[in-house]
Amino acid sequence: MTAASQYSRLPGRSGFFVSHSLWLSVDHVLSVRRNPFSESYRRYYFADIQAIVLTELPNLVAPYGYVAALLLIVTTAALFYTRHPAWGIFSALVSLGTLLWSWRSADCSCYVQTSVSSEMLPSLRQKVNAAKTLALLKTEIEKTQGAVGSEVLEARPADTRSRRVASPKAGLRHSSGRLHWIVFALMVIRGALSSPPLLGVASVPLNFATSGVGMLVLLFLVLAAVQQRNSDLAGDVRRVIYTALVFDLVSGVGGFLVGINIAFRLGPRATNHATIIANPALRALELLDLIGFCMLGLAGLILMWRHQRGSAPPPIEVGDSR
Amino acid sequence: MPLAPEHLACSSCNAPIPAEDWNREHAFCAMCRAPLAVLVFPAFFSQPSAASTGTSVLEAGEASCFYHPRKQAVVPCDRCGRFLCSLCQVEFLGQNWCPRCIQASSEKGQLAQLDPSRKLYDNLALMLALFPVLLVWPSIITAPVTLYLCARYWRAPSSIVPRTKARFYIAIVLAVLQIAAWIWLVLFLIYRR
Repeated sequence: MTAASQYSRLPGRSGFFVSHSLWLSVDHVLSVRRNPFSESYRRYYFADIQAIVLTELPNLVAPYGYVAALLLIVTTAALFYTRHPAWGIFSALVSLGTLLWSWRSADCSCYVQTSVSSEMLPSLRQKVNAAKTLALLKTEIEKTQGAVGSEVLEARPADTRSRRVASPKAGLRHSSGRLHWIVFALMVIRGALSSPPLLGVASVPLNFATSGVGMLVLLFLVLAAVQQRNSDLAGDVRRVIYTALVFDLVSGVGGFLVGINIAFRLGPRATNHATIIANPALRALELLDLIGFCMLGLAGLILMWRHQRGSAPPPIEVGDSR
Repeated sequence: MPLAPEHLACSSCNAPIPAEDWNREHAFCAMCRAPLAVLVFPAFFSQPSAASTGTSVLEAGEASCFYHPRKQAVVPCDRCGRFLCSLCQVEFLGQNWCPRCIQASSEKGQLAQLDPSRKLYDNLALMLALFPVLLVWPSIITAPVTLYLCARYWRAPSSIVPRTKARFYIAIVLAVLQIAAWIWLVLFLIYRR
């Protein structure tokens, strides 16, 4: 039997450019991490596996649904406002993309524990596949180790049964959230800077300011997204950052397409500010930026305030002087 | 997720899962109320056995370990035949191997069972055949390089999980087509005059 022929694929897969999958062998399960040019392997022998823990995650699909609904409303409004079919196509594409993303998003996480390590199994991120895989693995592991009787669980000493780790968020890095405050404030400013063109006001300094703040927002969003990984920041705050990052990229691509469109349509007249800002597609895009950035920025600021109020240490109690 | 032994934690909030919830049909995290499935196996309860350090040679004429001359040999290596003490004996693939044979075989790529990673040359060849076509002119260099890669790594060990050579075939076909297109273009430019 060759090395390759001893493996059979287990349900579950994650990632696109860097993907993870699980493969079953006669005496071990192989976790494969594949990038476009190489694969790396982790082997978990059935005799060594102590436990597998599967946790259903809270509804992570919902935020994508909200974003899709928001984008649909804004683009539909833009469609009626501009009467340009491009907005209908844009709306359909964005909604389809968001729905596909939400369909592929994780709804569970799973880790395997051996005597020397506890490691996540990234391929088991959807409940249906995870349940099938765990059923197969349980059968194979119990063939090797046997099953744990209820008397063994009952016989565990009380001290090990009731032991608690120091903190429920042990292993998570503390984040002060300063970067998040800055990025949310910048997003509100970025949204506010979209309002003058809607009112017919346009100038070169305003364009520079909008572009500068826009670049800062993108830079800080990327930094915040990197910094918040494995941090103790609230999940809602982290999701706002990811949503804002997607929104900023969509807005950027939309702006690029609209800019190209204006350049082709206006030709030499594209240097006239008044003509440019009168373009319905550009006005719709400014409206989208105004609503999107302001809503996401304000939501982020409120969530940060709630998070920091919730995680603040309790006030020192002054003892009774009597 | 580093955890102390004897602890199982919810992967959502990292709160410990009490033993009462292990191997139960429906369990919930006490902290975040997330539904859990905790499968615990007998290895969780077993204590690791102390490793043997080998027995010292007591009498003259007793076989000693090749790597530890003061230790008594207990078994020969099934690959190189050297005598091994219980410290050096490694049970691997149902045989007794010495550490040096395992290291040598692993370095030569003969042990797929120990490989921590593999290069995917077929993917590299396919991408080299595919993406430069978008810019057209780089394909005059990348097409021959693709053919070279396919020939050079055709027999190189690929993924240890089942994988066909389809990518290599597609890369070869694309590279040959690109080379043919370039030859046609050159001939066209020459004979047009």
